[in-house]
Amino acid sequence: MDKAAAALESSASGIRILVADDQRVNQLILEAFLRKEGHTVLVANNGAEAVEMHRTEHPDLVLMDIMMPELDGLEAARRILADCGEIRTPLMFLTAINDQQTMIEGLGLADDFIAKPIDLAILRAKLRAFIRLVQSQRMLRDQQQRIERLNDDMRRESEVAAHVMERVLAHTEMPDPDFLAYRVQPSAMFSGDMVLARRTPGGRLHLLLADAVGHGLPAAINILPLFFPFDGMARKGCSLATVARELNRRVRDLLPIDRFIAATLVSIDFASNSFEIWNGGNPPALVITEDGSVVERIDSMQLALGLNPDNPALFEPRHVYCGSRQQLLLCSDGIWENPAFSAGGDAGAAVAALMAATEPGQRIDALFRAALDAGQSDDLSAVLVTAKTMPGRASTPPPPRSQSVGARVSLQFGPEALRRTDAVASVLDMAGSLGLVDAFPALPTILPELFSNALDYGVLGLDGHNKYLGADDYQAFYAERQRRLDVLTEGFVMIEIEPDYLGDTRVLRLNVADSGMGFDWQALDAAATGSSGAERSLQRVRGMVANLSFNSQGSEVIVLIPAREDDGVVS
Amino acid sequence: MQIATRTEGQRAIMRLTGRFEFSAHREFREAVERVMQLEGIGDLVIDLMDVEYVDSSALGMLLMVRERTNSAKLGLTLANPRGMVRQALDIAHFEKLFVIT
Repeated sequence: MDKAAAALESSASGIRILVADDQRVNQLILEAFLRKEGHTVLVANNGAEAVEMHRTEHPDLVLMDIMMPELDGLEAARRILADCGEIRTPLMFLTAINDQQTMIEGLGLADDFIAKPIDLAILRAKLRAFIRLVQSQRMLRDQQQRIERLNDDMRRESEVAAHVMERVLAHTEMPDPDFLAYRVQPSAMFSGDMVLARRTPGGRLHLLLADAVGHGLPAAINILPLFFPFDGMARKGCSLATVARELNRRVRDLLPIDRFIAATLVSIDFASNSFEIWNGGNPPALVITEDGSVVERIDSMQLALGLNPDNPALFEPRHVYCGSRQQLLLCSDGIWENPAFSAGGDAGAAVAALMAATEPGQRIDALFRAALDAGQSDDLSAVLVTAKTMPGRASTPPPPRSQSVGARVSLQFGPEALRRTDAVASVLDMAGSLGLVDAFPALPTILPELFSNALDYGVLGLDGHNKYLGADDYQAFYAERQRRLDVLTEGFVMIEIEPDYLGDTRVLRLNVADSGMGFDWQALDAAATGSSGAERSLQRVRGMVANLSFNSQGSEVIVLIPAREDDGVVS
Repeated sequence: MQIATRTEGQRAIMRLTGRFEFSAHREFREAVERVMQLEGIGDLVIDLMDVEYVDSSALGMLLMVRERTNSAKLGLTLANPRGMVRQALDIAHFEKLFVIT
C-alpha cells in the first residue's frame, strides 16, 4: 500500500495502527478496543514482522511490546526508526518490564510508554495526543510533497529558460581573446549580467556590458530583451548613440518601474585605437597602461537604461583614444562592490592597484580570483579590451609625402599670435570645415599635445621635468609659462595638416615645427614611460598614430593620423 | 534593515538603518504604504544616514516610492547618503531623479 492510499484509508480521527505483540490474547484485546475506537489495526507477531509491515503498510502509529521472540521490541524500534525518513512514525511501547535501564533505552526510541496490564482508559487518552501528532505529521508530509513538486516544476522551467538563454547568447560574437577578454560569473543559476559584442559592417566592434537590477531568473529575463536590438542594430552599422537610445527606449517600454539596466556601451575602431564609450549607471570604465597605471576614467554619464528620457543628447558617447597596448576595463558593480575592492572605501583605487600588480594578460583572471575569494553575492562581469600596437616608432627622415590629395592647411603663429589667439582652436576650426576632424577623429586629441610641447618646451624653453609632479610645481610651471609668453619677442610655432596616404592607408599628415632648440627624440624609444611632460605626451600621441617622426634636431614633428574606419550605414 | 518613521508637521521622515537590499522589500513597501495613508503629509524624507549599503534592488524600490509620491503629489527627498550609498547614488545618477540632500 502506498502512502497516499494509506492516508485515504484512515479517516480524520481514525488512524492506522500497527500492533506488535507475541501474545495472542494481548493482540485480541488491543485489536478489538482499537477497532471500536474507529481505527484500522494491523497485527504483527514479533519484531521482525513489525519491521517488515511498517515498511510495506506505512502505519500512522506503532504500538510495540518490548519482550518478543525473533527480534525484541527495542531492536525492532531501532530498525523502524532507521527506515523512517525525515518524518518519524510515532511509536509507543507496551511493557511490563520494570527495569529502569530498559525504560531509559526504550524512551530514547519511543515517544511514550504504556504499562501492562493495559488500562484502556489511559490508552484512549494517550491515543488522543497521538492522533493530533499524526494529523500534523500528515499535513507536514503533504506540504513536503507539494514543495518537492513545486521544486521539480521550477527546475524544469529553469532548464528551459537556461537553454533559451544559452542559445541566444551563443550568437554573440567574441573576437580574438588577444584583444578582447571577458568573463561573466552569475551568483545563481542565471545571470543578470550580460556581455555582448558584434562587428559593424564598417569593421568597428560594438560592445555591451549590461547589469540588470537584482540577480537570478528575474534579472536574466529583464536583460534578455537587449540582445536582439543590440545585435540587429550593430549588424546594420547603427552608431553607438543610436543603439544606446534604442536600448533605453526598449527597457523603458518593457520593464516595470523599479527595474532598470546599468549598461556600458563601447564602439571600437581598432585601426585608430579610438573608442566611443557611453556609460549609464555602471562603475567607471578605466583606461590602463601596460604597466597598470590608470590614465583615464570614464564615470557613469547618465541614468541606467530605462530611466533616461528619450532625448538624443543624453546618449552622446565620449571619445577616448588608447595608446598602443593600453587596455580598457569595464566592470559591473558586482566587482566594484565586492568586499575585495570596496573594503578600503575606494574601489577604483583597489581595482587599479590590482591591475598594476598583474601582467596585462592575467588581469581579468586576477580580478575574478580576488572577488570570488572574498565571497560573491552578486553577478560579476568584466571586459578587458587591449588596443592594437601602433607602428608609430620614432624615425627620421619622415616618410615622403605620397601625393597631394586634398587641401593643405598651414598656419604659422608668431609671438603676438601666440599671445592673442587660440592656435589649436583656429586650426581645428579650419580642419573641421574641411571635414578632416570627422575623417580623422584623433586629431583634436593629438594636436593640443604637440602644440603645447612646441610652445612650452620649444619656443618658451621651459623645463618639462617638473610638470605634473605636484600641485605647487604645476602652478609654478604655469606662472612661469605665462610670464615668458607675456614678454616673448621672437620665435614661432608652425602647424600644417594635409590628407595623405601611407601605402594604401588613408592618413592625415600633421606637421608641428617650432623655433626652439629641439630635444633628444632618440631617447624616446628607450624609455617605456617618459619622465618629462614632453616625453609623456609624445608617448601618448605615439599610441594613436601610424607614424611619428622628427627632424634631426627634434624641433619638428610629423605624425600620420589614421582615418576613422567607415561606419557603414548610420541610421 | 530597520525602519523608524516619524512626522514633523507636514513632513514624514523614514529613517532606515542597516543594509537596504532585496530582502528588505516587504518591510520597506509596508512602511511606505503606512506613510502614504497618513493624513496631511506633504513631504516624504527618506533618511539614509545609517544605511551602510544599497543594492540595485533598493534603487529600484526608491524608484517605486518616487512613482507613488509623484502620483500623490508629495515631495520626496533622499537625505544624508554616506560612503558606499552616496557612491551608488552617484554612479546611478539618481540626482537627476531625486532631490538628494
